Amino acid sequence: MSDRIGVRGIGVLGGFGCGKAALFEAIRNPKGPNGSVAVRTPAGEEQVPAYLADTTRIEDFMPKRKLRRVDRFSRMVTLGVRLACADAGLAAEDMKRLGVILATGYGSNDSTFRFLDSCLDHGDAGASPLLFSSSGHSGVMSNVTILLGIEGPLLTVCQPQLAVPFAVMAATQWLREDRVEAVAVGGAEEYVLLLGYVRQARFGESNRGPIRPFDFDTRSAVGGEGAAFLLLTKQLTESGPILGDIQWGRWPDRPPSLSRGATVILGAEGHRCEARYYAEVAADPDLRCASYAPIFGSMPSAMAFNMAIAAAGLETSSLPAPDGCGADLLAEDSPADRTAIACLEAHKDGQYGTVVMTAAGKNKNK
Amino acid sequence: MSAEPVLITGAGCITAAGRNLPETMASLFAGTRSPAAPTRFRTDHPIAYPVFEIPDTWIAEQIPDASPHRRCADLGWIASREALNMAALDESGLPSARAGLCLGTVVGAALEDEDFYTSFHAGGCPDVTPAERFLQANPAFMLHKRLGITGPYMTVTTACTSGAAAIAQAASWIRAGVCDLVIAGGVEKLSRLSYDGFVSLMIADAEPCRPFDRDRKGLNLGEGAGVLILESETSARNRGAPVLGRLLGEGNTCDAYHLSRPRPDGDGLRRAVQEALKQAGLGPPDIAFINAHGTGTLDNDLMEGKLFASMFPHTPFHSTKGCAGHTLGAAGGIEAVLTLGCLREGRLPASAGFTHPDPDVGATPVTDVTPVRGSVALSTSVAYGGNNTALIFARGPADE
Repeated sequence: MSDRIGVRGIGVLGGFGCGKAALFEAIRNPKGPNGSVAVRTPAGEEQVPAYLADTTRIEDFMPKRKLRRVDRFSRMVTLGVRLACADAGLAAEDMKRLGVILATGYGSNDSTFRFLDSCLDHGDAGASPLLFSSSGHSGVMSNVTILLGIEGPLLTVCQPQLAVPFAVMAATQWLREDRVEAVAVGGAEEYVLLLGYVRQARFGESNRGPIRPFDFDTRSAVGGEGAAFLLLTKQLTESGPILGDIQWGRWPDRPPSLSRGATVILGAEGHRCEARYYAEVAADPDLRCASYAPIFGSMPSAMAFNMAIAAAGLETSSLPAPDGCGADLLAEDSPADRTAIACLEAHKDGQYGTVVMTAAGKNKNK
Repeated sequence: MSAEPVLITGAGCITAAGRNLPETMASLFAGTRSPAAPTRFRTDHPIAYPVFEIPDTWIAEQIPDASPHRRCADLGWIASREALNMAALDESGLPSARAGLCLGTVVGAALEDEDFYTSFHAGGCPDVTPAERFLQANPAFMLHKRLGITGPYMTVTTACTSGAAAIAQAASWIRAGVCDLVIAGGVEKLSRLSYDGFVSLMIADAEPCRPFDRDRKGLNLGEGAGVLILESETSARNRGAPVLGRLLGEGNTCDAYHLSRPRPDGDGLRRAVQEALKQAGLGPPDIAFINAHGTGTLDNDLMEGKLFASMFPHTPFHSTKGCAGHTLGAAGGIEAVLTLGCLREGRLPASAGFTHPDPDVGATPVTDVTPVRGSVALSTSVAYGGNNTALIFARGPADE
């Protein structure tokens, strides 16, 4: 068996819909935010656009009664993991020894806030044990492992920057150490009421988008939510992409090392604070860049969605970019490397992470 | 096949039992414990459930500009400084080293600014600075900036296994050659949120906690930080660093059973221990003692005690939670540090709070200071929600 790590399955849900087909349809025919959220402002309540996920399809995989007490974020993550397993052809009974890693920037806030609500509304002694049980970031993964019967190792990485690349690195290490045969690793965020309020207070009118990731001088980020998971294994398939290098560093001391002719998915999502780094990469004539944020919205773990897009694109050798969001990355006439895609996440302090995906054909088992 | 051991060249902690490792160890062996009603937050519970709180003065002594908003990171910084000092590492050299940072926490990664949330909950439009501050105060994120660490950094949130899981993850970075050294462990602060939560589940003891005791009623929450400096053999050798111990094996599993109860048959923890033993290339008889998760709750201690009775029938074990409280995301880190401390001292403190054997548990922790007969110890961590982590440590050559 190769020491290389392959992508066996992709599981995604977000404002674009649910599953790989919905993601591709959205890439070909982008529609922007699919919903709106009511946000509080000093002038009253306003509706602002948002990319919202629908978790109904989880009922394809388990009876409704099992979901009665399961919060929305847990449903999103469970569905993302389950879709990735289904895409890989992994049966429910084979999920017992799966490893699972969640990367998130905000984590499970709704269940935590609802628990806090119970303390505020009913006093400390009236705090709800039921809400406490599923609160916190770990509550989500407890739900996921219980609902899917996963008994393998578990990790939740919760931090505002680079959660996804470090989570993916952990997944590759588990596989290389033979702790597990397969790991579902991905990112997820939930758009909660408080987040909408904070975004609106912080960003005002620019919170309405539309997202223009290549307009580096204008703030246009629109909030999103959803989950994106990849099922990784050391068993490579004919069409499944291969995971390449994972790097991190900081501008200007150690900028990303992107080779001449590289194809890059930028994490640009309409935030001005980190735009100058993306602008620098996009301006390099030797690189071919695109952004897909207008498909799924702005969120801390967006790189998981970009990795899913890269993997799905390499699988099908097709990856058009939304209008005004860069080049068709895998166009046949592209002078750039069409066998690998680097996903780049950059932050205002100059920190960045990159994860490279490589087409299967270029990396047969050694 | 056993995995390459990871060296431990530094250890540090701050707990309610002591402002550093020597003080905490001294309290453990003296059996000192003084949990009391929380002072940093108020509640309207009719009973003041005791907690193990760290005096603010202990933090201010070491960090003059300490802030309640970044208490977890501050506690982590204090423990890290002690560990770096023990490892003969200069903080100023970290930016140029191939160093990483991996910290577990629970409250440290949760937005629990009460004033902010209370105002929002009441229909107000509060200033959003606390929400932004929450992201910036994420423990590994904040501490990696303070220390100038250029390697990977990670805040792990797997409930009560967070600290142990962070150490396991850090070991993986060393073995993979990603880092030469990693500051790894756990950090936690007391909060009204977790206090109310555990009281609501009726697993908080109104008296000082009694792990494994027949009359145990639950846990006492605590706060603190405990970190190890994990280092590759090459790096430690090149620096001439003191080798305090070795991390031989790690295991991590899920119960997939219940949101707030461990599997009664202990199968999840058993598999985690077996995985760690396999990685270490050892069997149960090689374990000199066990640092148990031992929270003092009915379910945890019953499950753990039964497992020890069947898997380690002759191995002494203890819980430190009677002295330092249950520090949630920091527990695995603090207890890793204390396990190493006991291995190095060659003795085990009595399990504070234990008096009456529980016939249902079938195993009793040590009741006196006990000599450690062997060089390898196991530390178990069990999370609310069903995650289990086992770590196996060996004493370093300097203490053999």
